[in-house]
Amino acid sequence: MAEFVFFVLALVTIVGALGTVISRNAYASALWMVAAFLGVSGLFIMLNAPFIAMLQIIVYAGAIAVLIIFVMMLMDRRVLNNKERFNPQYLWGVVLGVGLLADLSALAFKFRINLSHIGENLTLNGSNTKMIGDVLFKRYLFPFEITAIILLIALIGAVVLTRKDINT
Amino acid sequence: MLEWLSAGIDIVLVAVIFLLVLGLARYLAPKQHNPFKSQVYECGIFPVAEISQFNIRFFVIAIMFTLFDIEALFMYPWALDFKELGTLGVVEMFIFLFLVFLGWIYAYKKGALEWQ
Repeated sequence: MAEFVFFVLALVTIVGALGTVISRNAYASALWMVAAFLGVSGLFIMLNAPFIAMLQIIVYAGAIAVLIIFVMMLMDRRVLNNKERFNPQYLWGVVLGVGLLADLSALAFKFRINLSHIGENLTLNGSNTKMIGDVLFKRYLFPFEITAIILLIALIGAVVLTRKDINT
Repeated sequence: MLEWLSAGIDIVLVAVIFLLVLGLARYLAPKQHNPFKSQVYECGIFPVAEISQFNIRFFVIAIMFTLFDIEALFMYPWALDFKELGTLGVVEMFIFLFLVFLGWIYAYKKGALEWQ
């Protein structure tokens, strides 16, 4: 059963990723990307990592995809039609992709990852979101507060960079 | 096993309803392809020119949206572990929220959120 679930999720992810690359319509491409993210999120749930699965949905399928569609709302769509599907440098992308696949296959071979272990729980038992909270707020409290400062700097940086245009 | 089965039934049900509604819309809705549809959305006004530059305020809004999204994300493990963390957890979280909120105050004071 778990194998079946895994293959369905893998199929969703791969079809979504292919759709993102192949689709000529930028809107459809963004929606295919959301499908791929949902597939990845399902894979994280299979690995008993509900927090990362939720992060995948909230940050990637939520924020990032919304931002991309938000930009497209402002962009003129006609510019994108009647263009080549791939840009001339796609060959380098193919080389990199094949290289990465070979690398991952070599790793899977080296660590003897075989398909019969699909869907088996390889991590901690039960909800580890609570454990993340426990570690984050006790042991790694200082780095956690530093995260807030990094977020603060990102926002201040955005305002400082655009200040000139805002005040005109 | 049973968990996957119930999740699978749920997903199949959602997919069936989704495709049903989509198919119904495809069958019932009028279809007209015209150049106006692919125009930039301008609240119904005819666009004056092609957009080459858009307002920089959109960028600040987008950054803020992403940041507060990430901020909210940290509240999930906190909420689950709320009882065990006690008062200290509340204080820690509010320091975090305050630090991020400072950025919002800065943006507000600088007028980044105002549209003339």
